[in-house]
Amino acid sequence: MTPQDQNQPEDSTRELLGAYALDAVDDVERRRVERLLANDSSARDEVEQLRAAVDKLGDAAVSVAPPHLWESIHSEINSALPIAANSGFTESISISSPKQFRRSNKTFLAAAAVLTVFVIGGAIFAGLRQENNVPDTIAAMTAMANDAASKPGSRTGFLSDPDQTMKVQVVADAEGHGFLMTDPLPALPENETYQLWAANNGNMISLGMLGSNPEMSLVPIDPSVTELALTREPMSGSIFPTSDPMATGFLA
Amino acid sequence: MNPSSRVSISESNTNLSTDAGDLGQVLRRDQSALARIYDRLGGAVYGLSRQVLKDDGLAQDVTQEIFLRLWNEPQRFDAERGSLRSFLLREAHSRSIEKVRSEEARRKRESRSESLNRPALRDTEDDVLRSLTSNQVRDALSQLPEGERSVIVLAYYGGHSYREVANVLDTPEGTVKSRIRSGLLKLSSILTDEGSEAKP
Repeated sequence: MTPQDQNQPEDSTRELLGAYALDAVDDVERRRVERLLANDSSARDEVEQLRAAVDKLGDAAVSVAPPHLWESIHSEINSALPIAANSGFTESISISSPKQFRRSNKTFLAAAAVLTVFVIGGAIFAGLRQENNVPDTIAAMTAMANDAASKPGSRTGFLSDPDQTMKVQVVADAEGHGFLMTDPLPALPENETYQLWAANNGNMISLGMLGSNPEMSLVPIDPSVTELALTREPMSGSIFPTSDPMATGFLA
Repeated sequence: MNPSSRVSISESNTNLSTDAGDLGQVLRRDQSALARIYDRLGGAVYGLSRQVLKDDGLAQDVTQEIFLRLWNEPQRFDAERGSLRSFLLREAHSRSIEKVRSEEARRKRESRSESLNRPALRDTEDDVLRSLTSNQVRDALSQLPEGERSVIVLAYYGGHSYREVANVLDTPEGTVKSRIRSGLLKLSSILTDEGSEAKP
């Protein structure tokens, strides 16, 4: 950040909100606007309003894509599949539900508790899903977690902070699939992410980034991993933890 | 209540639910779910990319990149920040702009010219307005004062920064910034009101 950049008055930055919403600013100006947005809720509201209009502009140029384009995408996916199959499951996937679908903590705890008695719980959770209109993405991952918990060799555990103010339930199967259900974690700024680590004799090995507001995550957890830690990192993730663990726990 | 959160300017819960269901299947590596998303949104992604890039081949490249990225990194979509349609269109616009600007940089290097092709940019506004497929958006744009309409169309559909727009219109940068902001706020209001009226 340049000194001039730091000294820009807020009004001058606010004047950029429209151009920012249109992607019509340069990188320095974008950072200035994003700093303003981080601290000013009225600016965030305005950008949200402007972007809703910009979304309409974006949706006003619909065209018929060439027929071969999907074939090209499909072919590209399939050509990459053998590599993915050989390398196994290596990426983390995190889901946050839309606000209108967000469950109450009470409901979430009920769903999380169901995991421990999944055979009956599958039916119970199906009922919860209908009552609360939980998005299918969460439901699908919960079903996968239920399956994982039912397999021989699966392990469970909790990550928590010393004050027990946050709790993350973990289910890991013998094939290296790990499911994290948060309760929920505090939302981080957009430029930060939660990152999960395997702790091994003082060494920390990244297991994946969970995003800034994860509700349910699928991460690779090798059967040899017994100790886990959760840290707060820049959005691009870190090779080594840059902050002390927010929560730690064991799998057994 | 923030106007942007009004139902009239957001997608229906039915679409959100369909997107969530298909995205859940994408997470489980179901290619048919990605195909369904492409069927619903591929035309919009391709159309916007083509509008900004003015090049069918580059637009196809961008569309392919967007859907491959959705397949490879579905977790990048955060339902709390908007619909899947909005997410993909923003990605398409952003990626198209990167290509426009890198193409412009290349042309500048080759021609050693700092100036933009003003007549070509002037043509952009008329071409864009004629080619829009949404009468609602075209009508809303037509209700804006010409100065505000021009800067929005040139910046968004032309993929130009507000400085480039100021240059081509020979207008002070501060004026362009203000016109973009006020024009978008008016556009938001017009589209929201029209959406409300259209609802039963």
